[in-house]
Formats: sequence, C-alpha cells, structure tokens
Amino acid sequence: MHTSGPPHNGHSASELDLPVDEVTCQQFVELVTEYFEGALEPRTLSRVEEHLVMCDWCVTYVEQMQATIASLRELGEARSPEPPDAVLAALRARRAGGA
Amino acid sequence: MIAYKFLRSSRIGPFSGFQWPEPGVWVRAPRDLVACQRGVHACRLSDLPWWLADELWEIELDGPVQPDEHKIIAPAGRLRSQIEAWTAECAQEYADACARRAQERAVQALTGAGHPDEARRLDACATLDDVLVAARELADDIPATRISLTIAGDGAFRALTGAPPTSAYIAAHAAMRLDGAAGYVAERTWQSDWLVERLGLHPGH
Repeated sequence: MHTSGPPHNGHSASELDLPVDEVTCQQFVELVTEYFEGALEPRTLSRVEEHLVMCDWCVTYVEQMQATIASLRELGEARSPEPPDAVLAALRARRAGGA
Repeated sequence: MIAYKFLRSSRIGPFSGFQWPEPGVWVRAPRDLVACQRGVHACRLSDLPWWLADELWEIELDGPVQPDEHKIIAPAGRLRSQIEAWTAECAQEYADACARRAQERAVQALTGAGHPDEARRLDACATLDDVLVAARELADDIPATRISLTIAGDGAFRALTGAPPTSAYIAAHAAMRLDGAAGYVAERTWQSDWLVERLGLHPGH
C-alpha cells in the first residue's frame, strides 16, 4: 500500500477505492489543461505520464487537444471586426435609456 | 550506473520529444534535476513495465542518481546500445502473456466463487479470441465474478488489438482485484521479471 499523500490537486485513486495511486481517464481529462501548461507538480505529472503510456484513448485526446491549440494559435492575431454603426447606435441608445 | 530507457522509434523521448543523439554522446541536464521535467530519466529493471515504448536502450547515467517511485533521474546520460530483443513481436508476446495472467485470475475467481465448470471452460480457452468470448459470456451469467471476468476479457481484447502496456496494466488490476495492493505489486514484479528474462537484461551497476 502506498503511504504517500494524494497529488496536490486533491485527485487520488482513493476516490475510486483503488489501493494504488493512479490517474484515471476521468481525472486525466480534468488535469489536461494543467498538463499542457506544465503546471502539474512532479508526482502528479509522473502519474499522468504513466497513464499515457498505457491509455491510447487519452493519447488520442491529447493529440486532438494539441491540434485544436495549434489551430487556435493560427487565429490568435486576427482582430475582431468593428461592430456596424447601427449596432453601436442601438447599444448607446439602450444605455442612455437605462434599460 | 547502467540503467534502461524506453524511447519512441528513432530514439525520440516519449514525453519530451527529445531526439536522443547517437549512442555514446552524453546528454546533460542544464540545471538542477526535477522529476518528470528536467534530467535524464531512466528505468531500473523493476520500473520497466510502467514505461513500455517502441525501443529499449541500455543507458549509462552519470552523476548522483535520484531515485523516484517508478523511475530514476540523473544529471547526465548516454545511450549505450539498443536492446535488439525488444521488438514488436516480443512486445506482442508480452501482451499475450499478461492477458493470460488476467485469464488465470478470472479462473481463480470463478473457482473461489463455486463455479468449477465455468472455471474449467475459461481455463481451457486455447486462444485469446476464445478467452474474450468466454469471459464476456460468463460475465453476463455470473454476477459474483463479473468484474474479474470483464477484466480478463478486456485483457484479451487489448492484447489482441496490440496494446502491450494496457494488457499489462489490466493484468495488474486483475491481480489487485483478488489480492489487493500486494497482488498489484506482485504482478508488476512478475512483468518485470518476464522482461528481464526474455530480453536478457542485467541489474544496473
């Protein structure tokens, strides 16, 4: 039995009554943002990597996320168009009316 | 110290994406070691089942080696030679062996639950396809052993679909189902021993 504490984020296998400290697929999905940001503490990161070795479904999920991030990055510098004058006028009128 | 390291094809680090240089060329961590983030990560023999990948290399580590739960980390390392015996065929053999272990656990569970005929049926399965079918049918029929049988079926399925690390993981959970955490550890040890014997590996020195 592992005697060490749960990962810093509070997720632990004990939530699933597992006597070994593992990351499940559901927990991985919850951790994926921190994983991409490099914000996981080493113990949790190690558990995540162990999970990715043996879970090709989560590997596919990671690849899909990476593709999405790459696509969004390409859009990053594009500026939103200015709203039409009619819309701006309507918003000003609404604000002036206190509605 | 001599240890082992799994890499993707063409000497690529599975998580770092780092392209390892030719054997003999030292790689050094730029700053202090941080597990999973900075440093040369490698396996003791007992760590191997957790990190399976396409290629297995013998690696020489230099400097103070920091032990972690399922890995070791060093400030520097160089690949020495690829373990040629670790091939896709060998990985499949390993997956099959792990699936058979999960099957044995389900047979044990059936016997323990008072279903000797069903245990014999599962035990007699000649192929993993047979294991998959029998385990799934029996899981529907015998609620008391449903989880062990489902695990055995999943182990066979993942071996049949070419997923050795998953098959090994499932076998470890099959053991844990019957024997708790000690069973899990014992199964991982069995897996490590299988790899050591089959690949002719030696303890780090």
